[in-house]
Amino acid sequence: MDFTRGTKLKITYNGNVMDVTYISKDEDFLTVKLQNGYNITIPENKVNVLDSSEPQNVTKKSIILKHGNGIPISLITTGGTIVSAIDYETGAVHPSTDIRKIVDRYPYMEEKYAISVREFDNILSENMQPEMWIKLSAVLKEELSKSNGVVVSHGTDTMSYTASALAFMFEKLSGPAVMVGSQRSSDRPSSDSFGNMEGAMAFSSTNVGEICISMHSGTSDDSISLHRGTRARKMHSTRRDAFRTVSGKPIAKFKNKNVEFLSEYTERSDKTSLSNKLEKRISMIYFHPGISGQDLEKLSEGKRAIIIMGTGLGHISQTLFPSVKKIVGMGTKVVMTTQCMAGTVNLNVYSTGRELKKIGVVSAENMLPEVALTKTMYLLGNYADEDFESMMKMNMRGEIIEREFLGDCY
Amino acid sequence: MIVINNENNKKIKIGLEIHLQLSTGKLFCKCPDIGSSEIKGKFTRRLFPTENESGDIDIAALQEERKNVLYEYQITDNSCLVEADEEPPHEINADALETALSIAFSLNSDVLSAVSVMRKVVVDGSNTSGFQRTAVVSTGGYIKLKDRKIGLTTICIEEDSARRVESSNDYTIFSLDRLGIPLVEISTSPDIETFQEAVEVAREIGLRAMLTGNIRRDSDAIRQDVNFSMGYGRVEIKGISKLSLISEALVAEENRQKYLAEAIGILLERGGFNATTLVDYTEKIEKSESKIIQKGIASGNRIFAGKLENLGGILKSGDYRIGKEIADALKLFSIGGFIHSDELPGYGISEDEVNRIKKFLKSMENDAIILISIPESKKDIAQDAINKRMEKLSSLNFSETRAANEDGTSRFLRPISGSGRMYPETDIPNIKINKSTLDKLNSVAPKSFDQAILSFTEEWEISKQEAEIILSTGRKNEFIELCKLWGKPREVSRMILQFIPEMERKYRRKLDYNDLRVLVKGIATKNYGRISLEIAIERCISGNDIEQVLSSEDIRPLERNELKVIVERLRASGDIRKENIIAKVKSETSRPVDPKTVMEIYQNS
Repeated sequence: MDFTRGTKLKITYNGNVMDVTYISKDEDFLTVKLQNGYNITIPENKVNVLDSSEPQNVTKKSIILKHGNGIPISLITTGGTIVSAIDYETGAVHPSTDIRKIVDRYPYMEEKYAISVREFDNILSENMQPEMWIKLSAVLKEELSKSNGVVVSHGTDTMSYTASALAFMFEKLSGPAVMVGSQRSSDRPSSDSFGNMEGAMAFSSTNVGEICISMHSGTSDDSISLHRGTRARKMHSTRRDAFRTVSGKPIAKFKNKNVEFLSEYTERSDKTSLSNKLEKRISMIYFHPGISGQDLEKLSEGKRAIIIMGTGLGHISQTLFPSVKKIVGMGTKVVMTTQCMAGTVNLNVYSTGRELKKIGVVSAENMLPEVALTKTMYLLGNYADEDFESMMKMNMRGEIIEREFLGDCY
Repeated sequence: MIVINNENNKKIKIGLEIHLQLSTGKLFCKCPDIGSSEIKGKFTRRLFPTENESGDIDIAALQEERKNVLYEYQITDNSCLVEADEEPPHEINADALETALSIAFSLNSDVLSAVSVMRKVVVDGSNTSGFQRTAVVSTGGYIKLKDRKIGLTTICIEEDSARRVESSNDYTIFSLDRLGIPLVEISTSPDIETFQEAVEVAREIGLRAMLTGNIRRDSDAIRQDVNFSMGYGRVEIKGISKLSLISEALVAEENRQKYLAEAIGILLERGGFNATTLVDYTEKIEKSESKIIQKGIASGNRIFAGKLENLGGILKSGDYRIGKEIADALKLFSIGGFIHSDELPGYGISEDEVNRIKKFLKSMENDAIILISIPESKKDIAQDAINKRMEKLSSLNFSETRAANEDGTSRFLRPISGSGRMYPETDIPNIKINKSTLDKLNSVAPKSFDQAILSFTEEWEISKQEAEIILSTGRKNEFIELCKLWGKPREVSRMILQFIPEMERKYRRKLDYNDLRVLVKGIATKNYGRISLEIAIERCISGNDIEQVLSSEDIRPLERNELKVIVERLRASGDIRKENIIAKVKSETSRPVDPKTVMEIYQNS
């Protein structure tokens, strides 16, 4: 029994004649939609099909990719969906990039922005690769030349990796580039995607010259935060307010249709400058009791650098030292970060640290490990080897917080 | 008067949807179904109706109106990230699902071997997600009432919605305490023909479900929706919480439709309704002494006037209430109401003013006029709402969803929502139920209430009457648990059916079941008897701390030698007989006294 989704069927089941819509088949079970809207899943061998009629082909509606008249904003989509429509006949969810559907939800936007959509790609966030960052950076540069600011829709899982990689590649930006995602998909009435997008549009019409992330400040829908791309991290797998600026304040907050700046930021430059080479031969290693020198060496094979997430101030077991020595000796950079949720690496406090330093391990200070990774990719892609350590310690894009304060979030 | 020809389909048809809350804990998380009333925090959300490809004009209009509504949610201790829509649903609560299946088996319904959870889109804020999770567990089935067989259509398991705490025009407050409690929904075919039969069907289904012992006993744990038709389309009345109100609600609805049909008959005979146009009348009436008018103008509203053709005298006179039907439709758009000519002069508006409005609108004898105080921006919405409502009523199609009021009447809630606003819950894969579970549940499902009473009576050696009360009030599981702790079913039965209710009446306080369980367990462990337990229960109900009661000397029965001292002292003081010895001993102490021991001491010494 094989039909197209949406086929109308007349069937007998348990002696009753029923009009249903075919949805899917899984092993020996059929899922059909009853006339009251419910799906039921029933064994195929108990069903007799009396009649069937194929679904009519619905003509695809045209998609509007440019809308409104106001500050020009470019919206680059990488995750495909910015809005969804539901076909209640079949239960299918159709993602769409029709910008009108976002603006329809906020009628005031029509006057405020002229939004144009650029469909970049449609991939799951976890499948994002450094090659894509390079391609994305070129598109971003092009779009920025045509608009006041750029909004990039992106899956949340690797959003902070993409944000920090772009942040390093763009030495200067002529306007804000705001990444936006959602923790509840846009087919749900409760989706956070609309609010995050509203905030992103507002942020991208400011004079910020950085790569940022626009997501919910809290669980309520009343405030959206703008995080620096090099300091943001997804701290929760499901909550709306998953993204936090670690050990600092967000750059700004969007509340009551108003952007309020909360901390210092780099203003936009006259021109955009981009160095889009990335060294991909880097690996990241999470230290844990039981990891062996052999493991470490295997993961370093063919790499130009390894980022170790050590314990506390940046420590690893002394049994690994010979391997670290060997790796450093082969010319591979070894960068130390901490697996603590926040705080700095300091290789001076304990003898373990001092010994690592002596071996040649580079401290990533209080950089987030994933940011240390993208920074290493950028440095080894664009600068000479001998400048690596000094540049790693230099605060280039706000990735290092030089003064941590007690009151700031971590 | 045009006589509405309604002979062919005049027969009353009633269907019921019965919703029962389960006491198994919430459906898609590990939160308990019971919570304290303490508010742990709050958050606010908006809901954006998802684009619907087919579209429904009335509902779309509603959604338009709700775009800017803020919903506030109160966090309770029986809610977690799932209720806050901050985490995907966990696996379905197996106890809840099995309870639903047991009910299905006992109602002869065809249980499906797999459950497909759906999202039913609801954008009124009562679900944080914007949809209610619901699934069919069985189709068909029936119950027998004397010689009648009432068919069932489906049995579903679903999440209860959030409880509405407070609402105003632009925001509504909900509590998360009720959100996610499992509900079993049993829908009957429209086979029911009389109001009395509707009540009996609801009662029978309720009793059958009670046998599972997993039905909550809160005041709104059982709610009925009634589908009613008498030839003017299907009206759904939602949320009748008492059985006794089903019949009243149906009588009220029959009368409403009857008089509405008559009034519409008059309207049609006069030539029907033509769409009205609202005209800004603010300047012409701004000097009126009417408080409504003055208050409206002061708050920035405009006063609009409109002529309702052929509706004079039937908006509100005698049993005719078309005015209320229109007001209900306006209320949906947060428009508080209007003044119409059947009530005028009145509300501070003079006869002279009324005549001037009539003249201005060129109102004829049969026409009605209305005044409505709203912001300029709502004029089109109001005009549209009035015209659409009258168009629908004029077609003698009264189908709609109404909400039950406490007094047995009901109010307009919304147009009947289409069947289609559902799509699969993608976070929960289809749940296949294995055959051995189904067979087991089927074999133990009682096929009638009488049969269940009989076997319960035999099993626990209590009276038929006691069994009936325990089962019909959903206390089966509590009774069994207490019997396991206490060991004497008859004492347990007497305690929960007589002693505790008596004490609760005496002190006007309720004893929480969990406290009772602690007491029974505590006293059983100490090996004290029924009298100690009763003293402890009374102490607790009268307001004492449970731990103190359990550790108090007062519940420790007097031992034989202690009793002996008292008996001898009484004997020495004279005037004791076999008849009064026990009372005398009891008056000497506040601790439990075993009468048998007292009698032995008295007789043997």
